[in-house]
Amino acid sequence: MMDGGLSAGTPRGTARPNVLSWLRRLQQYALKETLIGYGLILPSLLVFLVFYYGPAIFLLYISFFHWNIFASRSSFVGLHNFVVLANQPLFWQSLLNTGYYVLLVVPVTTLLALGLALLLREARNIRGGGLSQALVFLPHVTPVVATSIIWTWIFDPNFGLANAVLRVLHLPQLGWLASAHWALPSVMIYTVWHSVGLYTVLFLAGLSTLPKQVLEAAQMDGARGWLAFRRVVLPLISPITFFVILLATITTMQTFSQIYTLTGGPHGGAGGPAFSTTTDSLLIYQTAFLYLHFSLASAMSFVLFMLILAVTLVQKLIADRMVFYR
Amino acid sequence: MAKIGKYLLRAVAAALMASPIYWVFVIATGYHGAAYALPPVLRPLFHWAPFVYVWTHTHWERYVLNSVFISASTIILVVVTSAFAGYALAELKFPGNSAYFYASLGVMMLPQQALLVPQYVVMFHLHLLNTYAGLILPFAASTSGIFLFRQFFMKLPASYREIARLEGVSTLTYLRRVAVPLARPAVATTVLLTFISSWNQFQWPLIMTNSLRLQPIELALSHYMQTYQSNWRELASAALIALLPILIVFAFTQRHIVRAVAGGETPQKE
Amino acid sequence: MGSITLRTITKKFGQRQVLHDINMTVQDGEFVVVVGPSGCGKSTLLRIVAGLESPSSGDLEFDGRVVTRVPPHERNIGMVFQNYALYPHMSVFDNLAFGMTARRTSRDVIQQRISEVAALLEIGSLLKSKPGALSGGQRQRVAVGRALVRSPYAFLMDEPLSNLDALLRERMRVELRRLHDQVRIPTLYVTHDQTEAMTMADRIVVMRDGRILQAGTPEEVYSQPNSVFVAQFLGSPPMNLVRVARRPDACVVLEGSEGIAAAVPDWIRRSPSSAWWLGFRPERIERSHNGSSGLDMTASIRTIETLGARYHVHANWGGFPITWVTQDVSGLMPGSPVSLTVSWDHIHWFDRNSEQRVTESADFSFPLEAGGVR
Repeated sequence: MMDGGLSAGTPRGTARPNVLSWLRRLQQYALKETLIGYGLILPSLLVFLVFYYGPAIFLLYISFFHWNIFASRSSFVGLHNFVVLANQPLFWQSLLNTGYYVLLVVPVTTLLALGLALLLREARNIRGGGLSQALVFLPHVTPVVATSIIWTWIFDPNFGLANAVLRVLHLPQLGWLASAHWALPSVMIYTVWHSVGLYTVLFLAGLSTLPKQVLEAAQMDGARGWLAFRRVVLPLISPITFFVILLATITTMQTFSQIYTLTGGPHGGAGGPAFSTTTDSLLIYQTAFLYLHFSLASAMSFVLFMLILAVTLVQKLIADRMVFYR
Repeated sequence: MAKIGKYLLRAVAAALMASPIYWVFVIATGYHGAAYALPPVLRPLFHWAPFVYVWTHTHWERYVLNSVFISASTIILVVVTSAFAGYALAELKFPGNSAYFYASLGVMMLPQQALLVPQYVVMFHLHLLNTYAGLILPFAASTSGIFLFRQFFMKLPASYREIARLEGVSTLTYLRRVAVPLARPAVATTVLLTFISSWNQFQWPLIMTNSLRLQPIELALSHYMQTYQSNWRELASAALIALLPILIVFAFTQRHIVRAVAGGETPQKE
Repeated sequence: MGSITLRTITKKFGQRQVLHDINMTVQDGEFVVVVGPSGCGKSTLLRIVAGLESPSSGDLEFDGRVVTRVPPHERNIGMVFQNYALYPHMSVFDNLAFGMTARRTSRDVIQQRISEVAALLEIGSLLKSKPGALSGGQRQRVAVGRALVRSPYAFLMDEPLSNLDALLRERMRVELRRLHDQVRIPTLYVTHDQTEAMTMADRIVVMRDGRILQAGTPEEVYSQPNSVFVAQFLGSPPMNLVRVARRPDACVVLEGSEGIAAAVPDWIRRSPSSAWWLGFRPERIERSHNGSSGLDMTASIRTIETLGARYHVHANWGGFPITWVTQDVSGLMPGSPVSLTVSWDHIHWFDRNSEQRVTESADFSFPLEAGGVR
């Protein structure tokens, strides 16, 4: 009876199957492509979910719970972990150390990278130009532990190259990594050396998009050249400068390997002497994996996460006012 | 005059940047005690005997092989997952396409140090601690790789894929025989960047393994460093083991690497 | 072998409708050219036949069998793209073999098919080369070879000659048509070039804005264009068109600057419209000798273009620019007047409102459905 009604050829009876078949047809083609698409993104999606987004969400959870990796039970403790954290002088010291470290490394690296980029800019045509760019970039691809070894020698108070240079210049000898005063600056020097090549290359890429006349105007000697540089070149490369500063800040806020390597080894446990090089990343590592205080380490991670988020947002706000986008 | 000054300045800057790496050679292949000489020795002697001694007295080959295995596996997986996702994002229409594009970019925004603790917990529950898989899988997908392949596939003419569809060629065959071979520059860039980051891995294996059997070269080097304190010649020789592969690869591909880092763009012609 | 039939095919991309109720048939062994300006929907039509797009409604039949939902590779279509879509990293042989290899055809069969096709297209010596090393014409032939090698049910060609230079295009037109006469596979060929349509087609389908305007043999469409658009689109130089309006006496007046009146046949005055386009092809114009039985005009010559065997004379008649193709320009020069005439048989009338053809017998109409459904 139903069939009869549908096949009777009334306008309504024919319209409905048409719409249905139209939908089905549309679905069928899209469906296959959709399935293939999901199949193809699945491998990377799994990696991102399991190892990155999952842990990021999990971090929220474990920061607010008293929680033990080996126990099956956990209980909500609210801000308890953060209160404990706030009562740890070392936590505050690590934040200070990190701030000190970031505030020196980022501007120095950025300025140095910009200078190197300007210096290397037109070197590509000159013989050896490509080589000098490669050599400036080279440290960035070297493994941190391997090159830290040579820097611990350079910073050796008795036989190192650093003090040898100071001696030649008739400057006082320094304790470098062995001194609570100079240990963190020593790590800074290493970090600048290791990362400045990357930012130089980023600046070079930015500069290469500028019109030639603009840079030639800025090449002029004296006040006019400087003025042209400040008024023309700097605004034009401000997007890349912003990117460099942001990237450098986020990276240096998370420095770990060189601190661990340079300040460990011959000079005792990493982070010394006298906790002068204990930064946030190092403290998280030690709290979690040496002292197994996972809840506390999670709370610290959460603070670091929020700090980095805040820095990113603040820099973005500043950039929106100052960066000149073409 | 200014030209020469600039040229000199450039040379000095390059020399300063490279000098620490140069000194690894000076000390590793110099005479015994070269590291303690005052004023410092300036010239490498290329005595390889101490290097051979260091190489034969620790299981470096094991650690190097670990690094090679981990890097090679990571590279293969990254190329496959990046080509897959890049192709899906560039060529296929499905709900969630652009959402996934932004989600994969978002991974770069997550601060790695803040994630270590929860990552460790995840690894613990997946029984991935102290396994090769634990050192490889978390790096088996790469935002930049996906981005690179996506860019490259978008440049391929749509008719390439349509011919394949008319011929009844499956998506996987098309990827394997046409799209990926044509995306050779993207493959090369992904392989190089993955190799560098994978070979240089240190913190992840430090936390996720405690077995000597598994440790890659950088981690082994760190342990060696703590044992040998300030035996500079031995340490420098050991550093060379980790450094040389990178230096060799860089020497042959530096233009490509620098360009890849600068913009992710690679030249069409090779 | 068989036919391709499209029944009330429509296609929408979101809100935009690119095809409206397309009905047409390609008969077995027929070479049909779909011609129209860019954006008229002709490529979408082709891609629907190939299965690369699915129609929003309507059905597609191959030899009477509905294939609307059949995936592209099961339709057994050979397609040639404008950019040839040859894989640059594969040799010509591998390009030809690619589809068959993927379908796990045996080596012997592949080898045999390719040597047959290579012999037919004279590309045997190129099999080991990469596409990058070939000339445009050779690439074109390889692309055709790839479409041919699977013995397709039908050929679809999407502007296949657009990337070639003028000389090569002319040669490939002849070659493609000769190939078709040899293999007799039904072919649907899409182009924006009216010359290709006129010279290659068994039947032409003129499209605009997602609709078929007219279909028929090149002669039919050329001599009986059913609308102003078709009249102007086919033929080079295009048809001369003059705006005219009814006058109370037996005349129409040219709506140009000079208001010239012309006597016209009776039937046109009986037609319901009062304003027309009056059209005539440049090559139908003749020098007027006394006592002609057509539309007489006195035009003033502006320029004379020499094309070797013939001349394009650009003139002005009653304020309208007209073009005249002739082989004899003796005694003519720019600025001088010339008396011309066109036989009434070669005058086309189009209603100015509908832009449709007005014919002598009112009930005469042109079938929209090309070739009809048999």
